[in-house]
Amino acid sequence: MLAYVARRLLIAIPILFGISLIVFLMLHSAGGDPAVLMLGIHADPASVANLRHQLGLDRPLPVQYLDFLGHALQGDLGRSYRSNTPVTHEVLQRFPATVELAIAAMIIAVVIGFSMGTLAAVRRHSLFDYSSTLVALAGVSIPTFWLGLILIIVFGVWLGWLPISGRVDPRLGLSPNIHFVVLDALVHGNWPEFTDALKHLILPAITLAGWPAAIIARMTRASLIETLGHDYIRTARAKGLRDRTIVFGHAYRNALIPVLTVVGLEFGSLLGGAVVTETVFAWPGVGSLTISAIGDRDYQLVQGIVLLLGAVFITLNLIVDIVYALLDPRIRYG
Amino acid sequence: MSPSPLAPPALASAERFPLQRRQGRRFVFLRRYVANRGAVVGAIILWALIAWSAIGPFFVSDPVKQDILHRLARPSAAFWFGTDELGRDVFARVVNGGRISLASGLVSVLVGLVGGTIIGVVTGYIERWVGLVLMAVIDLLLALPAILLAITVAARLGIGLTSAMLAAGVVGLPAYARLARASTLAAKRQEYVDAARALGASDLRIMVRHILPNILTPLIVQSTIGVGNAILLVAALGFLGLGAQPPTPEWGRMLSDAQSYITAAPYLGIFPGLAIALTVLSFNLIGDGLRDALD
Repeated sequence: MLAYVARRLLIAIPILFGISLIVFLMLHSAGGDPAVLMLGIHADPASVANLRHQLGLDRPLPVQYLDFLGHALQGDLGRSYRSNTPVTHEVLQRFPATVELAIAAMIIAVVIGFSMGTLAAVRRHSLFDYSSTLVALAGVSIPTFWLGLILIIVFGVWLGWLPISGRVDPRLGLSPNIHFVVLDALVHGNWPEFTDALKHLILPAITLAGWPAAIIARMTRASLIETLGHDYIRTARAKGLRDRTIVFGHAYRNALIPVLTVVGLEFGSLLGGAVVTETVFAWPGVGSLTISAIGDRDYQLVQGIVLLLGAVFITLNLIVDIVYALLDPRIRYG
Repeated sequence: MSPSPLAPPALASAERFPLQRRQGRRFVFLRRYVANRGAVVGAIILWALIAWSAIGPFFVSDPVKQDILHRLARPSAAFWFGTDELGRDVFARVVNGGRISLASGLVSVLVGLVGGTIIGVVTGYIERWVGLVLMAVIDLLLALPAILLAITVAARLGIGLTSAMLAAGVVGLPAYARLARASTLAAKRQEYVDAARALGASDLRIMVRHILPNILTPLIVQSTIGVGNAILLVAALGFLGLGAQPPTPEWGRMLSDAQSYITAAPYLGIFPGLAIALTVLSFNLIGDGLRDALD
């Protein structure tokens, strides 16, 4: 098992380096001089040249990349061209909001996906099976931002039940140092803040959960149907075991291994893919930071965000692979 | 008269007539596809959307014509889907947006399909370090979430519909490259490739004339599903302000604009999204049907 983990780690490292190189080249070859961006278009050429020198932008690209890499390995992703604050600080300030949203979305997706997929597999060819298949197909066809808008229209505008933007009501005077708002309010027993934060979380979390819920439902159904066809399930039935025991006690163990992989991979995608949902609900996470950074042509910040999210995505994939190998010995001995 | 013992064994009719065999296979494929109700519904929706996008624009008003006197008008007999903040007919914009979304989906897939197939076939056929390095780069693109990669590429290429289409194409490219490579690795060990090589065919000719036609089927199925995803991605980039710019009646951009008027005119946020969902659903249904029929 250790050898397997070591092998997977060895593969992950060059991938991270590769991503850093691709992102660096892609964004550094984009138009727009950061020095002009920071000083304004009316700045005199001497000041621009001076700033370019200070930022190290007058050096050859390979030197700039190695410098960037050296600093990145020490956790320094440079400074934002716009705010001049460290990129790492800006990203880490916003990251908890994205994590909180992604975790809430994943919980919803897993509950809906597993229930729908399991019921559809157990009651194969029933009306529920066909309906859930259709719902799952709609889940992967509906654009996330449209689902968000519809939820806003129905639950925010027409019914007025839930807030449509932000993370918490500003009138509650939440401290900016609190990163995980829902968790913090729960731990400290601050119920007004907890309920308010939870209300703010519901619509974006459901929006973000739409796609992974559909994928998990489809995967659970397919995997469970395949497992229920195996000989050992037939043996269990022949022994007179109840359906519930067969499904949850016997079939689930094998059927859920590939589904867990999908759950892990989808969680990684949720962290990186929350951009759209965060934009719809003005959620102050990394996604909305990315969009504003692109709008400002703050490529230093964009580069840092993509690299950090890429690293998180790869790490999660690595964890999924290891968990998969732990659950299924055929993988690590394969 | 009994056949001579030295005569070759009688061939089944399908083996004697490869054309019939191919037609027979096509018939089986068609029968399986038609038996899949979802796939048929998907094909009907898609044809309706194509017809709507091709003919519709001739029967609706100018999608960019502003009519300030009728701004934010609710859906009515005069304006079926209402009007937007500049008094533009939303129905006319949704109808015209069909052309843009269908075209953007197709162009994106074409970019990914052509680029990915070339890379996949070359790396699969050559199998030397150049191919391995190229595939490692392709795998790197898969290591990032799709929307994040699309945003990065769109940021590099500049804001606009063309950039968004190319970005969606780049996001799809690795999947085609991997599929093409896997199919090429299997195809290059077939006897017909050895035969072509024995006849003196060049590597390029073998790749283009012999391998490519034999690996196209899975790529076409993959690209059908890919069109739906590409349309979603281009619309998402439009929604984020990185794709089509005003006054282009692109569905994602229309939803982005509708967001500012969500309380005053919620209907603005319904119809363009419904159009995207229907289009993507049709491609997904067709893609699922094609895959099931070919399995």
